[in-house]
Amino acid sequence: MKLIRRLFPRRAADRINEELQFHIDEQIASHLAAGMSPAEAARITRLEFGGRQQVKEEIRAGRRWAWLDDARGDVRFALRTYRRTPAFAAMAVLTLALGIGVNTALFTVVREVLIRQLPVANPHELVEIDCVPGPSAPNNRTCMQSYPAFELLRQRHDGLAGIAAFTPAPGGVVAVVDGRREVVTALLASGNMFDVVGVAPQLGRPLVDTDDQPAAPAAAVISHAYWQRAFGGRPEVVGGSFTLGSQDVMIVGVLPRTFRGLAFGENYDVFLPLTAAPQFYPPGILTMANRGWLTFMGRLESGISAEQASALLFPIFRAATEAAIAGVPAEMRQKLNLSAEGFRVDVRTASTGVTSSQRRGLQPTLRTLVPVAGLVLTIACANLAGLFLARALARQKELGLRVALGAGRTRLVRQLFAEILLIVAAGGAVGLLLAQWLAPGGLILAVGDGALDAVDLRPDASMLAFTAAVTVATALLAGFAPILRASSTNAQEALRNATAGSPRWTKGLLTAQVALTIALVGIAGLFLQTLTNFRRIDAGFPAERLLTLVMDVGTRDFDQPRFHSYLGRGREALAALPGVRAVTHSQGSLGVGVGTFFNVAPPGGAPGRMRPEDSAGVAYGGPGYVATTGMTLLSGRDIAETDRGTAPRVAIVNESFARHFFGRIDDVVGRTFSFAPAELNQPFHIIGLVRDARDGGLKRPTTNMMYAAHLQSEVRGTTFVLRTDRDPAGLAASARRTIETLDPGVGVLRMRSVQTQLNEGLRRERLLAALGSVFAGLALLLMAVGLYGMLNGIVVRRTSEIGVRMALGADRKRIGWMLARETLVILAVGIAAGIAGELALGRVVRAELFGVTSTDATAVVGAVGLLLAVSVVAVGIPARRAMRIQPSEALRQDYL
Amino acid sequence: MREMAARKSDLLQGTLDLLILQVVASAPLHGYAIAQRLQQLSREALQVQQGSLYPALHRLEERGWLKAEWKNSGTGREAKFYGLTKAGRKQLDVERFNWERLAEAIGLVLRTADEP
Repeated sequence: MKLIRRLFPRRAADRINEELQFHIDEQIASHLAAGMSPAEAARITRLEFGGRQQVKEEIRAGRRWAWLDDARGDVRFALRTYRRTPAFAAMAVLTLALGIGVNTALFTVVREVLIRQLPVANPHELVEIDCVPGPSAPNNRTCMQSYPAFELLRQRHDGLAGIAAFTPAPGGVVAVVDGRREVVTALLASGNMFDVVGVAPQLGRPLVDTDDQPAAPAAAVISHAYWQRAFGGRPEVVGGSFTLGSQDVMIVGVLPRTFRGLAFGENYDVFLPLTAAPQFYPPGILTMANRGWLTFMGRLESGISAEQASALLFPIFRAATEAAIAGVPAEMRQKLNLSAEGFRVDVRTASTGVTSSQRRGLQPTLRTLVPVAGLVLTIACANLAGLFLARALARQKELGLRVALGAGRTRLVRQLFAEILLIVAAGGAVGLLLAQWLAPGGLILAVGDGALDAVDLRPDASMLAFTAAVTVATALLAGFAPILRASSTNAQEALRNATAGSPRWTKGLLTAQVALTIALVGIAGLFLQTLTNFRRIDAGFPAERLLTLVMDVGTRDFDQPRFHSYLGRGREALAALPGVRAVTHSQGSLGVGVGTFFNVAPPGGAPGRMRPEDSAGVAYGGPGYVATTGMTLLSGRDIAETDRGTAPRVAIVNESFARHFFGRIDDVVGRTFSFAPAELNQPFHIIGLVRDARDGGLKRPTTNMMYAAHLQSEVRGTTFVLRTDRDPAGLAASARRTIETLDPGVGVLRMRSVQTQLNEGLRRERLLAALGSVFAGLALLLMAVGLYGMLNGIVVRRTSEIGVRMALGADRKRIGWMLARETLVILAVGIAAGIAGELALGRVVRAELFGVTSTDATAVVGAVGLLLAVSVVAVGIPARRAMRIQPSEALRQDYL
Repeated sequence: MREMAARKSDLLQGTLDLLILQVVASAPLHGYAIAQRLQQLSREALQVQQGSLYPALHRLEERGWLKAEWKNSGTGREAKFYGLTKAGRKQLDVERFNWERLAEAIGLVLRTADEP
């Protein structure tokens, strides 16, 4: 019965009428008893009682808003309390805002990088298809994602509703719009790509199969961003044309703004048909079955799983592979490790886009940052709890009085919770604002300015929900200890003796905070050491005086003599610039990493199966390559003007190469070697030996490297390399002008100093070191505030006790020591736990470290030292205050 | 002085709650009886408007300070009786303490103001 009444409280309210009627009847009865006529009694009662409807309304309104009134009262009371202690409120809000801001920012980035799906219909049906070496033949790379394979798959793709192929135009393309040159990024895509992926242009039409024919007129679809940037968003550009590379192309469509590309971080300005590829790749690329240069993306047929599709597609891939090696004789197949068996077809979901190098690069950073950000929030939480607890202790008398007066514990708890919630809500709001600024900042630091084009960091429902969840969780965590403390307030004890009750909770929280701080500072130390170690690496050549100009000359249909003449004239013109010491041209290496590895036939060794370790990175250098780059020539000579045409093929090798293939570094000049298999490849004559250098990037361990003569190769990719006698940045403008006037048809794709490029490679290390330091600094600051707050509270509460002690003759040093002692256990336990935590966390981030182990003693000692130094200050100030207490004043204080 | 006492004074904001709690402290009463008691105990000095009595009763019930029960009024009719809960008893102490403090403070001011 009781339960039912509780379930339907409204029923009672519905009897208001009855209740009021009873009152009226009683009143009339009393008037009648006093001798009034019935009519008179009714009239008087009506007058006395007033409007019955109005009374009912007021009852209802009172009931409905009672809880709100209470809440408003709580909040108003909390606000009033904070107005009296603005420093406390500011500190608490700031602490939280930082914790929540950092986590919201990280969430936003994680959402964009790892979670956001492609803005197309049914993204979960999209898959990326790869053929990879199977477990039975880990070195068999015969199955290639080549164009002939794609042609086969386009006809037959069991399990898929459709399959498309695409690949970027390497290095970008120079576009000329209204006379303005710009390097744009381009994706070469099969004609059915827009159909398979499910993207409709916002203007015009998509690329279709008829565009993707060798004889079709050149057509392009452009991105929304490029449309805005280069064409001012004018709709009439559709149907018009512009110059792209060496030809004029017609714009057939403009993509919607929401479509940012198929791989995270890879945003393309222009989409071209795949048959345009020979402009950017070797001329025969569309018929080469041994070049895996394409990405395959498909849409699963409904009801088909990725595994089923993989099994269904396997025979088609095998047929393509068999066709590719059909012309190779059997014994050669074995030697070259060619086989149409043993590989497997990997079909994996691409709902968030295909494999992206940027995402892969960011993933470990994010994985490292998530626990660190969590730690920051935990510290903020502990700090907040500590602050509230200190306050609760300081208010013990007040709370005790309220309990004594009969305030219910629930009422007290609710009041305290309102206070905490108010701070937390303010902290959450400020944190949300902070995240708006932190997220793009962090992403730029991690990836570079271009990264912002790849993401949409504006707040949305998921971000607000995340912040709200974190905020509420923080309120609960931070509120737990102080509320528990307050609800156990014993009125008598609190009133009798305000100093009673040790701040046990506060000490526990502070200990935790010290531990977390040690862990964070230690980890930051490891990141800093990692960055320093990378910076200390000797690149092996003076990178700070090298300027590189990446040219698009390779995409021009120059014949060999014209190409060579262009390189020669380019070198001459650039060498004539003031400030330029030497000029050469190259391809590969020099800060961009080694893109190409070839198998080398061990010289003089028995011709056997190729071993994967017998490979060497290949870079190409023009005349004076070693002298210009500044590498150290140990013996032999540099690449010369005469190393071209029919002259013997030459190469310079590094020490690792010489050691690996010849077992020695002396006496390798003059020897020969060739790519494997030796009987199919021309020999190289070694003309020089250079010291190992980290020319591909500071993070790359030195590999076997050979530098072949650019003019003796078919390689058309070209980078001019300038050695300058001043800061290369100052020469950039004149170098660009010079090279562009030399041949207006050839453009500069990129211009950077090699040092800049090497530094770019350390982005992640810099980010981790920077963020780690900031977080560690914050943690230290928060911990200092916590320690200070606790000791200060003690001094305030024990002022009279200290006064008595001093009056009885205790010396000031003793008093200071007595207070400092309060923190000793906290620090000792905290530091011990912190070191354990740091070692544990160090293991998690081990992969991000270089030249330092996760158990590095410097990091631990440094963290402890720093923490102690900060603690001395935080403890020293209140301790000094206690030492300066005047006994006479202190004793009077209690009675004021 | 007599004239002033005879005038029915308006209730100070918030004091109605205190008075209601006090009146029902000894035994549960229905609304009409509460109004009668208030008038009677204050020797007719306080007259509670029904327009504020019933909203106050319901508000106090909502806060958990009063519990209500329908039972026979003695005249054969069912009436809603209000009684004090445990929390209500505490609240009564708080309000009474506050009131006494306030009264004392006002008295202090008046006495001091009388001094030359």
